[in-house]
Amino acid sequence: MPIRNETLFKWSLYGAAAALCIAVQMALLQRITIWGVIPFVYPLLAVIPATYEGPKAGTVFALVVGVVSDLLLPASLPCLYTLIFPVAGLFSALLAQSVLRSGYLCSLTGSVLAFLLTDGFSCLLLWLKGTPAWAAGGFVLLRETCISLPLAFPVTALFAAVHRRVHFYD
Amino acid sequence: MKNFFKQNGLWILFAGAIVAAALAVLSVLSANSSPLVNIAETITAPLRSVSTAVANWFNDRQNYYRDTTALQAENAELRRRLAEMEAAVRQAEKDSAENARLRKLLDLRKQRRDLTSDLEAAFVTEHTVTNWTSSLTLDKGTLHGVESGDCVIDETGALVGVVSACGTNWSTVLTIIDTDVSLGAQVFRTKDLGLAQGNFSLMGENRLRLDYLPTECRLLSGDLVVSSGLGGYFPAGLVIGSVEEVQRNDAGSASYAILIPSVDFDALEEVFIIKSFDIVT
Repeated sequence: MPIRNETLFKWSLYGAAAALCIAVQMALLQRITIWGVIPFVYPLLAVIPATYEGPKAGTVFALVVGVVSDLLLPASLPCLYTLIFPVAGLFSALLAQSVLRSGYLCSLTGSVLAFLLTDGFSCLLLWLKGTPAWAAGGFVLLRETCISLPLAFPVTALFAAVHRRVHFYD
Repeated sequence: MKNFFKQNGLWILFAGAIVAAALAVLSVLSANSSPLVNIAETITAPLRSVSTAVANWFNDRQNYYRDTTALQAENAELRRRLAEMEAAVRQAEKDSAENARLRKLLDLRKQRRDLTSDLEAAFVTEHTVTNWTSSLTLDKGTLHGVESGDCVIDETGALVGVVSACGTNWSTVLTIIDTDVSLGAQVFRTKDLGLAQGNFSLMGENRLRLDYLPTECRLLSGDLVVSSGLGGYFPAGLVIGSVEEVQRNDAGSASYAILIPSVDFDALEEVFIIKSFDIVT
């Protein structure tokens, strides 16, 4: 297969896997409330592919996930996820490159990092608006992370399968 | 055998005649059946009973099969009719609920002439989608004249929120407990003015704050809070909620109240978008 087609195939497959996760989030997860919060899969989509694809490609993919998230979700800042997800993706990719091997443990660590960055930035925005809510924000961060982290296992399995398929001949 | 009848035929005939005569006499004399008939019937009675029982058994089987088939058909028909009736009841319940909502809305329109009848009914297609916002997605958008900043109320006239974004056939509403919503409010009883705004610490408990109240305000728990209409962004008099408690800020210079919204956001199914209104002075 020519390199261009290979690249197209690879990212189409990653895109389809991410679209599947978003569909599950929209159809099922966001209708469930556990411990007062909704399971939130979007940060996982930004960091888990990045742990497999490296800093450059991973950051670009996380940026695309961020743009899609901003288009789909209301937020206090219109480009909140576009700003945060590439940073989370980059950190996770660097983590996978130099500290932990790509896999479940790396995905879990990257996911915790993504939630810390996303919810931390939301807390910062509230503080900048003059309505600080560090305690409430921290509690939401804790609950959201605890409730959403189990989702890292199926999402990692999905993206690991995609990674194996697209790097079959490497 | 032939010779036997030739030799004794006359005697046999004679004996038969005697027996026949005797039976005739016995029949006349007897009140019941003749002895010969009685003997024959007595012998055949068990056989008759058995044959009748067998025939009855076959009849029962046949009737059972016919009845079962008929009952199955009847059961299927009844089930179909029951399903139709249940569907009709469900539709009737839905229609009744809609009717009640529309009646309340009609009353609201009579009471609130400033709303100029320019209300757009919309169904809630999605509730809150993230843990950092409180929002609703509606099935009406720019195609129906909805614009960002439009007010959204429920059928009782209680304020639900403000349209924050809208597309062709959808719009997103930030509810009054969201941190990005603030509007001028007035305590109905005391006429004290304040700013009702969402607060993240209270959002999880479905509460909001009424800030910038005068320090000397005397609010009571349960006081009704309505939109003030100041600035002309929102109609005046829309019910926001009721006072739960009054507190002072850390410096002690200003009071604020915690409000319970009148709307149960999780239970909302249908809302009304105020597309235009007259500013009442």
